[in-house]
Amino acid sequence: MRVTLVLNGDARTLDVDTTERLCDTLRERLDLTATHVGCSEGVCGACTILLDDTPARACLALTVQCDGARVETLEGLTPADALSPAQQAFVQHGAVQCGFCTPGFLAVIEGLRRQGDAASWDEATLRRELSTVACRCTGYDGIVRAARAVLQPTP
Amino acid sequence: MEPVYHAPGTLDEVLALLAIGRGEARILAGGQTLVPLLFRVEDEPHTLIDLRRIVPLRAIDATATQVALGAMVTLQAAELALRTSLPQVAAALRCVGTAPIRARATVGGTAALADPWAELVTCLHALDAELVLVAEGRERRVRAIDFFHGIRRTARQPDELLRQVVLPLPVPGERHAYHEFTVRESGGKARALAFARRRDGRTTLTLAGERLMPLRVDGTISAAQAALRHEDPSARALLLRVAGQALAMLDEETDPCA
Repeated sequence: MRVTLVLNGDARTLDVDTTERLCDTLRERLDLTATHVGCSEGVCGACTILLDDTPARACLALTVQCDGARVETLEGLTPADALSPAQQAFVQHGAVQCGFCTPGFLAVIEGLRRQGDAASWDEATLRRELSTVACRCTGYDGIVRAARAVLQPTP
Repeated sequence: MEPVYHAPGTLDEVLALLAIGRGEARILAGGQTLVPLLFRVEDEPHTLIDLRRIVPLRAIDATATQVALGAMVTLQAAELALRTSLPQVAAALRCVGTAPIRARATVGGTAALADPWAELVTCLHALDAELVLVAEGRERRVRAIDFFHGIRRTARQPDELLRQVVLPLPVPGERHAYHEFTVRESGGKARALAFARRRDGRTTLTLAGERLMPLRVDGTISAAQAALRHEDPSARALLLRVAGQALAMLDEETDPCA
């Protein structure tokens, strides 16, 4: 099947298998390996990318379903020679240990930033939204602090 | 072998494809349940029919007495649409997976794939919702209690498309309460869902679990105990705890997602 994705801002036309998952197209066909694959059933969130601005599990989308859609991976969310503000916040707040889940968290946080209503959320709401990705090593406090620094900046 | 993929633009084309599919076509809605299933050897379909281009299936139609949700309405959109009219159904839908899942999972996919632990399936069962099935040249409405035959088994015929689910709105004085509890443990999880409904003075309780399709009983713990007597003891204990909570909530407002 021929599909066109707007991938990190560039239109890419590809021939893919019918049952090819978006995460496999990204990693295997396009060598965009920032998208990590953990559970393959949508639970762990490591493969979360932005699909038309909304966080989505790349392991639960067939690439053919995404024909015409805008797909953004961590490669596209990262400036060429620097860290994004969210990545800087992760470093500053100790939100990374092994880093396996980090691309998923960064996609979720970017989705929340674009959605725009996180600025007024209380702690419980912020934690619930961040719980859509599973971290296996840091515990979540550093991640919550980093997310708060990005989504609820104090002037 | 790779299935043949279709993304038709009209409902008529979908029904034509289903009619020639001889039961070997799978319908793809949001894919949040189906995509992992496609990688099981026993589940290799011949044809995949993607509904993403059928815009009318995303419609939400509300009247004074009912809300009809098209098959491609996402659980996120359904949750928003039902917050005022059916707040406990909206609360149940907020318990589904995580936000990225709710943004893509659909009403039709969730109902048609009939997972016992699916919040929507329990709500449809509890509220006596109707499911609208269409095929070439025919249409029928099936009550939820007759639609869900078992785990992943429904009344849908191979040439039929689940087009819409129709939820009745509460009558004056009607009350609802939803509660669920999930225990994750090594090797799996245990889950219990309960929807309590009081209508015209009569209370019913709809219970479902990890391997228990929704079951409706009179709204008392003793009725639930009797109905669950063949369940294994730990599943039964969890179901009874959640049932008790839903019954208690009928008279108060509480967070349904524990």
